[in-house]
Amino acid sequence: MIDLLFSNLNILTISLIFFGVAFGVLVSAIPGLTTTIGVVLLLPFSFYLDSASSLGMLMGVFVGGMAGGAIPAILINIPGNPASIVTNINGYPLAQSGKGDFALGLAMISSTLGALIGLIVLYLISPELSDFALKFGAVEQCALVLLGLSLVSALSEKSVMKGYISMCLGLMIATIGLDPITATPRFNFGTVTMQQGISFIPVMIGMFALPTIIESLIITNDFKFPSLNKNYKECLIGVYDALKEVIQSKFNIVRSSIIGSIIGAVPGTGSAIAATLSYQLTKKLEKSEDNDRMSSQGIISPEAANSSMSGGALIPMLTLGIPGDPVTAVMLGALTIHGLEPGPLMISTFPEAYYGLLGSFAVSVFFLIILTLIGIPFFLKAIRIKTKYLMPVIFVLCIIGSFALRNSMFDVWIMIIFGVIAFYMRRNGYPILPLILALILGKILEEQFRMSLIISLGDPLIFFKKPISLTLLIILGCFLSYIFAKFVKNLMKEKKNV
Amino acid sequence: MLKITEELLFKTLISIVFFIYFYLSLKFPSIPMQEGYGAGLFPIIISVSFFLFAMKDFFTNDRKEFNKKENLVLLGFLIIIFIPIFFIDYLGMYFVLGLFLLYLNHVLKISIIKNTIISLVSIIIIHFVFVKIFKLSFPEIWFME
Repeated sequence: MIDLLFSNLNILTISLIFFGVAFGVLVSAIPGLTTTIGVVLLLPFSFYLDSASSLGMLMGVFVGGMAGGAIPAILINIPGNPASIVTNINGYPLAQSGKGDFALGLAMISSTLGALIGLIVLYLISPELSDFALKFGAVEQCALVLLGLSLVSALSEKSVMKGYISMCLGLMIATIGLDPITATPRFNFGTVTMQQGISFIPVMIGMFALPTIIESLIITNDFKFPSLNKNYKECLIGVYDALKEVIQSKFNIVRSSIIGSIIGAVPGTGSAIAATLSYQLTKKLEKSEDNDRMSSQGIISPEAANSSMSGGALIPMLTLGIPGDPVTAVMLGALTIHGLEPGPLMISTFPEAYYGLLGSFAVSVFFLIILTLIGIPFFLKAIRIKTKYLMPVIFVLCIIGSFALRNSMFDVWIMIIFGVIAFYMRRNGYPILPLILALILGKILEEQFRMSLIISLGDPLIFFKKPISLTLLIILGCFLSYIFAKFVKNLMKEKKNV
Repeated sequence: MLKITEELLFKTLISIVFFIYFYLSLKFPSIPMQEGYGAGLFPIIISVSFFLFAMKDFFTNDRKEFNKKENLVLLGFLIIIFIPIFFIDYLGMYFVLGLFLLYLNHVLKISIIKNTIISLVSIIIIHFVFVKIFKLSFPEIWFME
């Protein structure tokens, strides 16, 4: 299997992975842009590249993006992405005291090691889970998709109801086009274009990238990164001091990375939860009177956790076909563009693509190490570009990306309409991820649901008769009961206050 | 008195979409047939679930005030985007993209000279990367066809 990891690599693929890692670090280092936007922007190039190169490049962005978010968190106290939500607590004061290079070194090296541990977890767990998932028939798959969607909807934002409404909207959109069993045209308003259904790629491009562009038109703020007032050699000394500190904190790295990988594997949880949980645990477990050491641990822990999450998040996407976060949702789109279908059969049907993806992950981690050890001073210069120069180019890339999917302006319309919808959803607290996941998984859910009913001759109790599906539904039931109990408790509290 | 907030308008819009969807769902068969349940079953289940979730959400407090200025900026953006895209078969992709670049650079307060240079360079790069290298065919200006 090891030989398959790197069998797809050639000069083009390696160069694109390197480009992806550097691009990912830069994109998430610029406030207002996220790793998801980075992956979405490079998605149009996937149409023209071979699967190994395009997936390698996107994997590079994923790995680089998780590390890059720490840069603005440390330098200007604004997390570049949700993953770095707690990095600024200790990172910013360190940067203020003239140790910005050291803090950045800590964050980037911990991210690299976290990503490496995440990759090991992915390599070890995926084949086992995939073997188990082979036992899944229509009934089990239906229960699994329902559980995955419910988790994502409930965990993605503060309001559970808004999450579920967003999920239902996604399912509604997924039903547009031909019905998967009888091929009856639905909700197409008599048009042939709508009969094909709404592709989730322009929807993803619009919903993830367009709200940021619209927001930049409304609030024209630009962030100025401070200079570290150090030359290249002095910066490198800070990074190597950070390397020594990270080596001394090996237990923290391993603990945080394992937490990140486990949390990443649960759909809907995301990197912010992984980073916050491991940070809180580190604060409880690490006791030292040395303030600098405690600050270092407070940077190492969340950064290792959020980067290892990338490995964990790939587990359900590759083995079950359920993406757990926005970046893996876009990567699932890239896989389908190349005719690869993630799921239990992926390892046995497309072993080269599967192991190639893991190989790209490993190469991305390698490039991240190199970029961290010698490239931090360059990144600090590169991120000084003003965001306002990037927005028009991003918008044009969104249009071309949507158009390139089927050479059709219909997809451009879809991208813009869903971008505006996402803008209002974000403003009013409706999460976007459940809508996109429901759009991706809706067709599978309906197909498996109706297949199950055909198998059982219309008996809905079939979902409770199969042990795996029953277990999944019990988990779903417990989860929903917990949410309902929490909701009632809040309601009682509100009434008491009134 | 009922205060019109952005959230209320958004929720009303969602509700209208729901009612249209539910009405259309009823037009498809949902009874058991020879090939299983009809095409209407799944949309009806979604509609019912949506209704249950939305009922609770609809009556929660609306906090987001209606911001006239921000919505006008968005409206302006949409008008400037939609009109050229509607006439793209006559205007051509390069012209439309160039127009968007100039407009967005202008709104983001980039000076005219920088704006022109950035827009031109972007269009040239797009042409070389997507058309020359990736062989993507854009809609062209009507008189070029």
